[in-house]
Amino acid sequence: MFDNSKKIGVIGAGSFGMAIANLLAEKNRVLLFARTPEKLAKFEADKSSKNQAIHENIFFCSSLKEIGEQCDLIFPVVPSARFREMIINLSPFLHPGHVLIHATKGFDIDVDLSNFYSISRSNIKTMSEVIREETSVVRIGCLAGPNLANEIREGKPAATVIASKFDEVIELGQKSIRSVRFQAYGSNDIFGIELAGVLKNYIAIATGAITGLNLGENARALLITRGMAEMIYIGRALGATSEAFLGMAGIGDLIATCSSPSSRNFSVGLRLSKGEKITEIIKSMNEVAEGVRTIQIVKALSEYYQITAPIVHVMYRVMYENLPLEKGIKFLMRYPASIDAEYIINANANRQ
Amino acid sequence: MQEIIRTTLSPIIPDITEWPIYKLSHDKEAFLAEIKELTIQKIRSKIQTEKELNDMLGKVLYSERVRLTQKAWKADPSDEREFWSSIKNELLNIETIDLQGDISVDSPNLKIVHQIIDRYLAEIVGNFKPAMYNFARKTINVLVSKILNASPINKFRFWKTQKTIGEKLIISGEIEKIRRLGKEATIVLVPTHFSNLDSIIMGYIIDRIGLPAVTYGAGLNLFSIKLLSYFMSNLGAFKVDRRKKNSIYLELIKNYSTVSLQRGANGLFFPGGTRSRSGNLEKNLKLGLLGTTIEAQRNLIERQSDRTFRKIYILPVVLNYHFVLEASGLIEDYLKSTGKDKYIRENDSFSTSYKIIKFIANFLFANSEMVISLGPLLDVIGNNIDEDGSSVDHLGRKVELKEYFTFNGSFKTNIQRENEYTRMLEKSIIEKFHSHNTLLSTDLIAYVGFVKMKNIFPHLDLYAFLRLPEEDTEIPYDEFEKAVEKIKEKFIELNKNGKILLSEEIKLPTKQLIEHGLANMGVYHSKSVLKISENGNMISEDKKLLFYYHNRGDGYQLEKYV
Repeated sequence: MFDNSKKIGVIGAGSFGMAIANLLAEKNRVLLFARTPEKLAKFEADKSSKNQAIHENIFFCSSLKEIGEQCDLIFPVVPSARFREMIINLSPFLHPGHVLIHATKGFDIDVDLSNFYSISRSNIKTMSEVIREETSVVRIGCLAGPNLANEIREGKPAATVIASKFDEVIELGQKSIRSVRFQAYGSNDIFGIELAGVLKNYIAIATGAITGLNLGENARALLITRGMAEMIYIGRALGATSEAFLGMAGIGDLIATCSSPSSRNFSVGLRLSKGEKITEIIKSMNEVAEGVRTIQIVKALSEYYQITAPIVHVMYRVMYENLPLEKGIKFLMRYPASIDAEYIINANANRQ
Repeated sequence: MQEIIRTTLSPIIPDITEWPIYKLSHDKEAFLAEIKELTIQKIRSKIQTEKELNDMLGKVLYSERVRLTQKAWKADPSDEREFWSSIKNELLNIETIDLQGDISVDSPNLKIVHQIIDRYLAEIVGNFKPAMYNFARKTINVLVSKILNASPINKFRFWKTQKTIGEKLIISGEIEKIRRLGKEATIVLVPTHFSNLDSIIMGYIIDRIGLPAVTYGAGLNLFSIKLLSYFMSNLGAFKVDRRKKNSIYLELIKNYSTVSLQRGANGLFFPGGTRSRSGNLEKNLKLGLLGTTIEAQRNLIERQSDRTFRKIYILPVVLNYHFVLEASGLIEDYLKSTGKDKYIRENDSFSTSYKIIKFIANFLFANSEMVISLGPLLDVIGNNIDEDGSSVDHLGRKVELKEYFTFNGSFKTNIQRENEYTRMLEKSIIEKFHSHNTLLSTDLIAYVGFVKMKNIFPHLDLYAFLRLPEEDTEIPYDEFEKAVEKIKEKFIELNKNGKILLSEEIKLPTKQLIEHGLANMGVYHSKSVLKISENGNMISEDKKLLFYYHNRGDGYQLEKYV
């Protein structure tokens, strides 16, 4: 089924883009696009990235035209803030025969983040919606799951989920990336999977913060569990169902990012707990922690839809309104309890 | 280019014997054989073993026996029971040993499938006779112009200005492009559905813009009306029996559509399935028949190695009436089904030849025009079509249709993929229904009137509101006029953004616009849908109908401005 004469494209040579390229390279030839020529030259000279060998099946290029012309299957992995711009540049080289599977966990928004009050579903787009809007491609998928880049780089076992409305996209994605150490599940609920992947990031920041404060494992578990509920409420307000949140991209990714100091979002929270300011943290990071942007967006969303979302509000106030972190976390820990796992109970009730 | 035509245009293919629908009828045996072959092939792709095939036949037999005992019609052929008893006997006679393994060449089950298909096809198939077509065309034209121009008409008091049919039936759309591209392509018309009059109007429109006749699935019940049956069965209509819901029958109906499209015959189906009960534009479409356009297009591409494959274009059509004769019954059905989960009864207001003639006469005598907007041509994925007939995506880029059916470099059939494409097509058609909906004066005043009355009681639900006495929902005329003015501006804005079309009278000064609307509103209904009361307020004697007509302007999110 798979046309091996063609390379698979990967756009974005960050740590996750590189991890995906390496996974794909085990069975395919990969064409990796890097935005900056310096980075490209360095990859080609060193044949390694972050002390990990780059697979010999990976070829490099710095032209989106080459990606569009040489590859039928393309994995865009660039930060959400730059995603639309990249897709617009790639778009002239794409046609309906292309298949795009993105692995970006963030929202695209049409308002200025530094100056807005409330945003609704119509202001935000998932990455697959951006691809649909800006290109002629219709067969679109996304990849999400507990996939910490450094662990994949080290060859440790992992799994992911590939979501698309088109079964053939899921199958192709699975076939090209699956290996003995990397499983790929499938789902047709692409919107739910994308949301789960996006929303878990800010929960990871909050968890990093609570971990840094040494409040113990019980408190951490409490935060993660309630975080899950908050994600589901926001997801439902945006029109998703609960199911996707209970799978690989939801709970799976949540567990991984909320327990690993190697997660960027988690480490943002950790550093907040040491008293660093968010502006300093962002400045000192090489790569984008999507959760920071997500907190701003989700806070505005929760206000528009009037959803009770204490975690996002507390984290927002800590980051942008100088609320002391200890005070904020204390507030969360004392938040009055209601019914446990009500999101499942409600979902079942609605169905009947 | 949006053009308006008021006359009948010449046929784009003058020689009727050159029409695909004629060839299809002329070559009937091969045509039916192709449908049969496709159907068997599809059944076999889903079912591999004798046991499964036998189970399927059991289900078909069961559902047919239920139909015969519970939903029998007088018009059903007299040998129905006999036929199905013989099928039953044959099924009983199949030995257990024949139920093992995969389906064999001389499978007794498959033989039964053949028998059932043959019987169904003989019932479904339509004819197309040029003589009959010409006769029908002349008859309708004569009938229509007689009704309009004969002198006795003058005795009707409301007949203030005599209008010709061209003024009464306004057709707008990219007529030149449709006629030009229609010579080499298959066109599938997909109209909105509000009234039983729609199919007759569609037949008339197709002739007026000069397109070759269409194949179209008509309810089997209509064929029990002699006059209609005589016309329809010789005009290319095929018979669809909505009682038969078994897998073989449904597959056959779909394949009938697929094969006739493949053979180039233009098609017509109401994608909403039935008439809109609520008066709203369609929000969901029936995907089964819509999907046959995609399947037929894929087959046409596959058979042709180069780019010269015949194209199938979808043409959304929006029919705008000032009033819908059967509105009362429709909205009643709607309220019942949403309010109490009741079954929607089959409306039989259209059951005899007499009623149909009365129906048409009522429409024509009422001094009310009708606006028909032909949407843009679409390909089967829902893309726009440019002047040369090529597909153009939402970014305005030319795209190769073939690529949608190509995956990883090779052309492939994939049913799940096509199901998704059908949803994309559905979305595109619904969008065009809204953008090519023509707002009439009646739509506007009903919309404003209803929302304004409802706003007096923001906490009442729809059903409680509808039960209020008419004096409770009066609104002062001045307030009403102001609101109409405001909403008119909003619709004009929407129109500038390409979201809706406006009829001529919308441009009138608001006072005159309201007068125009009131004069046309429900001329036929016994109670006033909306009128000015003796003390000068706006009142509605039938809020259900007001709700119905208001729904036409619903879906543009303007409630908050009223």
